[in-house]
Amino acid sequence: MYLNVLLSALFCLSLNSAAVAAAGAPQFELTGSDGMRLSIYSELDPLQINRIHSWHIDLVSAQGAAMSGAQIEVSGGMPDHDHGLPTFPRVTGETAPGRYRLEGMRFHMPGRWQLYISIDGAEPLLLEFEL
Amino acid sequence: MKRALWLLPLLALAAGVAWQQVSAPLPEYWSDSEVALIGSLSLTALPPLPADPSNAVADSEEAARLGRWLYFDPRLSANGRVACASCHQPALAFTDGLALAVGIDVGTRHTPSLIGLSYSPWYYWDGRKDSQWAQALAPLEAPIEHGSDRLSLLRLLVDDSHYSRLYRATFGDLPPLADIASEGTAAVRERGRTAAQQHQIDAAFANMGKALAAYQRKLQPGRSRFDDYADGVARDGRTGQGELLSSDEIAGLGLFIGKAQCINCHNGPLFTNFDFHNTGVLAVSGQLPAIGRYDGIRLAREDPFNCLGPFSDARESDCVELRFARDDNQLVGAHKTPTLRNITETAPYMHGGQIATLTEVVRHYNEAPVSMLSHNEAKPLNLRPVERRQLEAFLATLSAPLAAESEWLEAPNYAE
Repeated sequence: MYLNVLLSALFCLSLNSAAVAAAGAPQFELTGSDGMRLSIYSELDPLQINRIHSWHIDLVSAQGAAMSGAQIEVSGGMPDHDHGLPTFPRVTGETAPGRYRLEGMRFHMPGRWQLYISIDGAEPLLLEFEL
Repeated sequence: MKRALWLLPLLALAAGVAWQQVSAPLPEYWSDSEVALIGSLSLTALPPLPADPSNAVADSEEAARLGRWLYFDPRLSANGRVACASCHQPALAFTDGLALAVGIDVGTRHTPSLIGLSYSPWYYWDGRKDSQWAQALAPLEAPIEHGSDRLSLLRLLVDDSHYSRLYRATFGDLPPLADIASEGTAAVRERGRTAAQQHQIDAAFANMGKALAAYQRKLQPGRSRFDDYADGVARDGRTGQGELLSSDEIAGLGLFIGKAQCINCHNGPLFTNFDFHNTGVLAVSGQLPAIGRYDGIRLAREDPFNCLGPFSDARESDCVELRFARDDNQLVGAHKTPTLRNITETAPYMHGGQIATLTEVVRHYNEAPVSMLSHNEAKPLNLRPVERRQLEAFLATLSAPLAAESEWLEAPNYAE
């Protein structure tokens, strides 16, 4: 299934554009209002429905330093269908400085998905895409 | 001119009737996104059967052979008359034609089809089991289903030389029954058992489930008229593909992936996401509305035969579905999406067989009634009568003989 990536802003956060991943490139990139950058890689590439898989998230400060020890919360769902994610994904470890493993990702419908990614309790960044 | 005015109401009426009953013309080509959606439903896009790390013999031929013998054997019941195949009948796409399953007594749920089910991460309508082998165990002990018990089942394996041979070929030695099964009532015997003896009994019981699962992994759907049509669409994008589907069936497919929104949940080559949704189905007559998945995930976590339990062959890291399952209020009243493969053979429908025919199922989704518990995720569709007929016509294109070789669809000869 082709992935159309749409990124939009929430709570005045500016977000970078993203592209369908080439080899080694992140599937999504987000930038927080303080310049913090998230690079998101899916182990399932291209993304598709009905397969549980992991992501990893690289977290880099505005100054370019890897951000260790962050608390990352992920939620989301499909606003057009009035339901959340089919799973409760969570970060299960920091596999390298500033690199976090997010397990339990699964999408169970084609359509528009929204994910909210919160770092250390801050207002969440919005990631929106079509599957 | 004046005389013609009286015709206007009649013309309006005729137009109204036509709007309800006359089909819109088909375009010559599907759009690119429609071609992609149609292709995503074809069996050509079905990935290989995923491994089940919790079942070391999931893909063993010996285990599947043992599982076939167990599956059709009514001796796996308290009254000697109930086999797995009593409810999951091969001739009815592994269902029974009843609203509620009947084993030793009448059950509380409709028998689901087993076709392609081994692709699912969850079993039972409420997902209370996280593997096919763990699922297979529960009916054997349920008083209203097989009503058997672990020791009786183990005794059958030990006493029947054919079973003993098949079991040893798959799992190694059977537990020494003489040591475990002392005289007395079941309760006395149970009290007299050591933890190690109980574990041996439970492990042999779990192995029966693993063999039954290995057998059920053979029950995969066969290519239907729809699959050939979809592959033609993938090649040239044309709505017409010779005589493969009628114009009504093609229009129904368009509704399925479009206006009727069926593909939201009935997606992929098995026409299911194997996930849980509340679609406002009425409670089973005489029952309270079912809590569904909200309870199911709790039962799955408590199950000693789950992926993380002592009888599983998986590592903890393999058990991602169980470890990351959603468990909140959103799942109240949600039940698992069933496959639509061979759907014309599996009436009645829904988790309690509440809806008798596909015509009524389509009507249910068209109306999207308020849910008795929580909220109905589906919204009214405003399908015209002709569209409802077309949608139903499309569903009938999904039936086909199974891909499994015939030996897997027939009972073995126990007299041999």
